[in-house]
Amino acid sequence: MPRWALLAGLGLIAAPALAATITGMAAYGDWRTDAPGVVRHITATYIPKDVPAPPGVAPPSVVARPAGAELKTLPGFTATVFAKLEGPRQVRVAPNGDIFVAESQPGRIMVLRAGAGAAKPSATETFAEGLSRPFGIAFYPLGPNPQWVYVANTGSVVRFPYRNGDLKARGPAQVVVPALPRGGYHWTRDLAFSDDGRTMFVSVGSDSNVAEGMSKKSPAEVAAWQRTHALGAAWDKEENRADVLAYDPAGKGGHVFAAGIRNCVSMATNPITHALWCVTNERDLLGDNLPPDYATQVKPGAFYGWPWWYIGDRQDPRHEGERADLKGKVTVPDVLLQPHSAPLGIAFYEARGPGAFPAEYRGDAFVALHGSWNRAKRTGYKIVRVMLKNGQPTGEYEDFVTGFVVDDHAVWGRPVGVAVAHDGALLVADDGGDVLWRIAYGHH
Amino acid sequence: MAITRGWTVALAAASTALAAVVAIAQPAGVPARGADVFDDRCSECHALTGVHQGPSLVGVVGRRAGAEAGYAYTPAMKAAGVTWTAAELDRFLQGPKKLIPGTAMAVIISDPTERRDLIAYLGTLKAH
Repeated sequence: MPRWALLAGLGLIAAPALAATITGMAAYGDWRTDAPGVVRHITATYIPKDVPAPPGVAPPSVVARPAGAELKTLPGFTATVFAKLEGPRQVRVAPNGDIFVAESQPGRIMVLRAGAGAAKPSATETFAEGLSRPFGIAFYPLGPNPQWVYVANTGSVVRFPYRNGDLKARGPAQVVVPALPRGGYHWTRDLAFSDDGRTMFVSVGSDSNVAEGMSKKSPAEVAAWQRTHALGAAWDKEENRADVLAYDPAGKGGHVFAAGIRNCVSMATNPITHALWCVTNERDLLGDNLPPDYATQVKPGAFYGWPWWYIGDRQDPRHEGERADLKGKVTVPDVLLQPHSAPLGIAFYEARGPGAFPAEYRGDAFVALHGSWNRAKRTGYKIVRVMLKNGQPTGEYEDFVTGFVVDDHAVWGRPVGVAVAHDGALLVADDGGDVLWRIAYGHH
Repeated sequence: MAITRGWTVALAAASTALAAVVAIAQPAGVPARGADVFDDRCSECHALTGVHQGPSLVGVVGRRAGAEAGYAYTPAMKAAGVTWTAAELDRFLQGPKKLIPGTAMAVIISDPTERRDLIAYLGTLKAH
């Protein structure tokens, strides 16, 4: 009997994925049914009806790590605290292996350096500070010798001159995009460059839950608006929000790349297909099981539904009767995640070498779920593996790391950004526990 | 214990005196600017009408922590024993988890002017 099976039999660790993929209503579980190896497939053909949750749901207490509490991983994996930080959010790894972390609330970009297989960083420096809720980080040009570190503040995109090995910004920030829409519900702005290096994507979440305050347009006004705006683009305070915007790397030529994406918190490009991917937080106050959050390929010019529609041609009851012109034009996202999971980070896994995860992980994506507030029983608070075959999503996702939830009212960690270190370990920022986790395979 | 209590009283007196000095030394917050700070930093979780992710902040200045009816506070907030004076809000907003470990509140407002403006704005939010 393999060691994991013995330990699993003793209830010490979870068994790997032996059970069938959970579908239908059973896939709408909560933290009590989460465990490494559990695979769910939420489909657009089965979206339950629901009613708004009763009042009294709220974010959890974020408590200190209870004595003896450990994260749960699959056999062969370990999860250890790699570094202590202050409110770490986004994580990106530079071409030379240095680890950049956005401490958004304190307004800093930190950089950590560690040797292959090291359990702790050998150096931790403040790369830049005095920023305005920085979140997105990207290196440009692509390839081994970037000249710039781009950072997305909540209201702008800036870049710092950079050479491999810099632990401090070697010059002041240059403004690339001076004014992104800001304020309201969603403050994170992520950055990604297209794999051909020509396009800079900037994700901007909505100003509100579901555009409750947006003015109404008549069908004629809608038609006039659509003639000069991207399919499904919103207006008023929601203009250029709930979108992925695209610019050239100098910050010129800004336009809506895709619309109706309520809050695309993190983006990544698929290494096989080069498609842009995004993880999105869907709307609240429709019910515990509505609507699914998602990870999806973002197609140019596509409209993903917000605020009038969701998951295809399902009309949001708060916009009953509006925008019939968009019915049939709503792109259904690729991978539906349990409603209110709050996916905040995504990274594709490509590592090879002695510390890499087993080969079957290559080409899959890891997504960090910050966890629910608008739900009676908590869901999220875990890292999941999104399954792909030859770069195409199967729709399934598997619990990869769980264990942050203490009970219905308290958690001791909230995962945000994910990135793959050069030694193959998965790094996970946790702004509940104020740490960076290192998920490693084998003795690396 | 008498000595401890004496120290507490002395500290309280000192911090009151300090607060008075600070109040004299600093300009008053500007509520209109505070409204922008509220929209930018608070409105994701706090609505002006009723409970959202966080409790309503209408009437928060002068209210006891954890006392808004209908909101599911964390045990930490319920047990905080804090009354939201302008000075306590100023401390809290510099590092909520430092003042009340276990709180769900995560936003840090490090700019003192923004904090002052925001607290001035919160002071205008009165229940009718």
